Formats: sequence, structure tokens, C-alpha cells
Amino acid sequence: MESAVFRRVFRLPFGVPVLASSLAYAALGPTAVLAAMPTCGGDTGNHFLGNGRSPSGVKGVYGEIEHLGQSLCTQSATKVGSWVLSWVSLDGPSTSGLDIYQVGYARCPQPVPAGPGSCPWNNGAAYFFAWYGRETGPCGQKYESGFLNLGSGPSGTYHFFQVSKIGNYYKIYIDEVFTGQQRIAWEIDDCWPGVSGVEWQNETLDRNDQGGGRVANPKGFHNNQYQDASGWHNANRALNSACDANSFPAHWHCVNSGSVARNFESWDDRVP
Amino acid sequence: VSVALPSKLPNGDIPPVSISKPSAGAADAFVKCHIGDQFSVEQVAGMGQVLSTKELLHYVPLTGREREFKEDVPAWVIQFRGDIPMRSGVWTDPVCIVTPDYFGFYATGPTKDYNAGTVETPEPPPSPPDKSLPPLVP
Repeated sequence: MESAVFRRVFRLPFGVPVLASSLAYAALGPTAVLAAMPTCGGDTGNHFLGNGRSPSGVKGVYGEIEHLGQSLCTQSATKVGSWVLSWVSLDGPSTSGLDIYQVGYARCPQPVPAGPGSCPWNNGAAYFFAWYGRETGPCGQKYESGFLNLGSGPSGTYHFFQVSKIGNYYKIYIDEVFTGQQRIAWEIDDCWPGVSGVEWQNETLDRNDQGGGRVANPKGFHNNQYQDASGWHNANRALNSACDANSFPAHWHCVNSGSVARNFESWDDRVP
Repeated sequence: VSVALPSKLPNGDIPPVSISKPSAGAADAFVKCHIGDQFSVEQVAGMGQVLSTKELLHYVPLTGREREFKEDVPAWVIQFRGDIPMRSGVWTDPVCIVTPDYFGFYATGPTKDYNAGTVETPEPPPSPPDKSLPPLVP
């Protein structure tokens, strides 16, 4: 039932069945070889590589993200924060970035014995995740949902991620299927308040985590779109231009691509 | 396992949670609050189930505006101690609360964001908590 709702909402603007493109991508084959990354630098921070838009009236975001093996920085005796994330998001108006509802891939390091880890470990394997946060405000103290582990899918292929308002809920879909993750509309409409932007991003917690794919196989974010009251629209970035965000341009690269400029390819030149 | 009392406040009438033999509800709260796959029991100062969300403000410094707790339902509460790495930064002494419909972490202590290092203090509660959660027991 949920998937049918999704299909109706999503497929109207396109005409090309998205499942067909999924199967085509699957033929590209896996690229799960992991490279050794430099020692974690201790520059713990949210580092981004990707795009964002702030169209008025936005209420949905969609992207097809390639599932590639990506390496974490190499920990030394003193453990520091580290993660590799790739996601699409709806954003609220806070300048801190905490107002965000997102879905994508996460890979996390093993927690320090008897100490906290950066994010849920999942035995080192990448997994689908969702996450929601909000700043202190009309709905009380600052809040984070924590990483929600939504399972995993095959690597070397593309998976489809969507966050959008359907009825009285903001819902998360992976590969066209409702994940069960939803926020009742007041949480976003009242607590943020309201959606002010969308993003398609790679993110690391240490700059020596791998940002994007590798030189020989950049990580694709394809068919990036946002939704407003009139329907779905292409991300529409300038063809061959650099992506909006790049926290580590010395080694990270991101170029907008595709005939309608709704794709981008991203890679870390430390990984051949 | 350290089982030091989290504070000098009197314990409420809440039974302690066993680390080795948690009830089904406590085990569910462990999972939803990532005790085990991200955080360890050493970071837990106290834990228990309040029978009504109306009791939450006796135990943790929320604002009272948290809409998740408008319904009068039982809630599991995990009080963390120390600096806890979160998605947006390091939170000191946060709490994780689990109700039948909601769960997540609330910044009831100072927070320091990763990028700018900005430190924020939480909004003061209407009145300070007057009870503490019991520490975990082996």
C-alpha cells in the first residue's frame, strides 16, 4: 500500500520507470575493495561533499546513490570520531544544521571498549540509516533520534532514497518501499519550523575518512530531485560545475553531470 | 561495571534495571538508545521506567514543551553521564527516552558542536528535577 502511494507520487513527473534504471545500474558490478586511508587526523567535524538547494515550498527530496565500499580513516592508539555517510535530506531553517531528516548509507568504526563510538557499529558493514534532529525551540530541548539502522542492500549498485511529505507524515522510502520511518507532520512543520531546503551529500567525521568514491569509480548521486506543490523537479545544477559543498578540496572532488544536470560524481583522489 | 549513584537526589520508586537480565521493555530501550552497538553501560548513570510521562520532569530537566510526551504513557529513561558523541557534536549528560510511539536523545546538559566548537547550555526546566534514576545493577 505504501509503495503504491510512493509510485503514484513519484512517477508522475518522469515517465521512465525508476525500477528499470535500477536494474541497469546493477549491471555496473560491485566495487567493494577497500583502501587503507591515512591516520585519523582528529579534526572531528561534519565534512561535506555534495549539493544543496533551497527552493520555496519544498517538501520532498529524492536521489539514487551508488552503494560503494568506502574506507574509514586509520585509527591510532588514541581513538577519534570517524564515519562515512551518504544521504539525501530535508532541512529546516536552523543555522546549526541540526534540523534535518535524512536517509542514506552509514559506515561506522568499532566503539572503543567501554567507551562511546561515533555511530552504531554494525560489525563494520555499511547499512541504510535514517536520522532526524531538531534544535531547541517550540518542541523543547535539542533532540536527535540517533542512527536508525534500516538494514542493507547489495553493494555495487544504486539504491533509491526519498524523504517526502505524504498526507500527515514525512516518510522515508528506500528502493520505493516505505521503511516504516516517518515523522508526524507537526514535528517538522511546527518544531523546525517548516522545510527550507534539501541536500544530497557525502559526509565524513574526519577528513581522512574517504570522501566519495575512488578515482577509477567515482560515487554517483543520480536523478537528484526535489518536490514542491507543483511536483518533482531536477536538482538542476550547472553541467560540469563543481558541487556546492566540498570540505576538503585538496583531495575531494565532485562534478555535476548528466544531460539534465541532476547527477553528480564524487571521489577521493587518495583512493586510486 | 561501575554502578555509582548518578547524583545525590533521592531515588524515585523505580526498580533498577539488570544489565544481564533486563526486562523486555528495558532490552528494547537498550537497543533504541544504542547501548551495546554505540554506547556502553559504563556511560549510563541511571535508568528506569516511569509509569507516566507526567513524571518525566521529576527525573530529567526537560522544558515541558516536548510534544512527544503529551500523551500519558509509560516511558523508559536512560540518563547518560559524561561527554557523549552525537551526530552534531558532543553532548554532556544527555538522556534517551523511549515511549510506545517515540524514542530519541534530548540535550539536557551542555552541547558542543563539532565544527565551530560552540557550546550551548540547555533551556532551564520549569523546576529542577527532584528525583534520580537508579543506577544499573549487574
